[in-house]
Amino acid sequence: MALRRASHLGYIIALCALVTDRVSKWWIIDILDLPERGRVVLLPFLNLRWAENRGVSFSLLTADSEVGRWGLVAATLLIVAGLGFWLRTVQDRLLALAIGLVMGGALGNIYDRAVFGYVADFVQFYIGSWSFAIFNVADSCITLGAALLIWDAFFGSTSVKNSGKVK
Amino acid sequence: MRKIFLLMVIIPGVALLLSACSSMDSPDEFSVLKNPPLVIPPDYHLRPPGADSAVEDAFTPQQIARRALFGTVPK
Repeated sequence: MALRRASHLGYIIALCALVTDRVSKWWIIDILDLPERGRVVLLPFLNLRWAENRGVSFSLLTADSEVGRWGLVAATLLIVAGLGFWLRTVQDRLLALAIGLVMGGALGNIYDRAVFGYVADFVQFYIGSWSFAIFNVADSCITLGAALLIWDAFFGSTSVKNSGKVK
Repeated sequence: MRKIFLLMVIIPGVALLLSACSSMDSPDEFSVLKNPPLVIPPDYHLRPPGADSAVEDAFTPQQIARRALFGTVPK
């Protein structure tokens, strides 16, 4: 029972991440109309700034062709499927939360790539003329999930440290 | 140790592949420069006549060459 509950939590978290990401992108594109405005200054270190990313993180692997676009969709879908299968066997809540966040965020970006051909990015932190990469809600979920995965690997119930103790 | 290494490579690698943040490696020129309007430059062939007799009614290199060789400019 505990096994199913933990993985169910993961799937629910993934769905929540996906919905939050879709709602934020819908608001940015259809309500705020950021693609037309280009930039909205919020704080001295935070802008809403429109960017269309056809690659992966930090605009790496930019896919200019349709083949590249669907190749990226397929590759990332494969990873999500792998994470989904892993999640089925997970019994730890923290681990389920982490995998769910990564899956949901990934699906949010895959949706964009499949439907629009690019991933919508809009959050820009900057100091003076230096700016961190422009990202979106899905990227935040993936980063948080990945950080939790690493945390879990070191300090979680099935961590390297604990498995070392058993041996 | 090998497991730690794998985790430290695979997890960030997969995260990088799944997320899609845009890096701004060059400034957006449209937010920095104001583009001047496109205008047709003035016609430099239509200078006021007079003073410079050497090039009087000989404007193109061909006309100047004919003028130098034959003394006249065919109309």
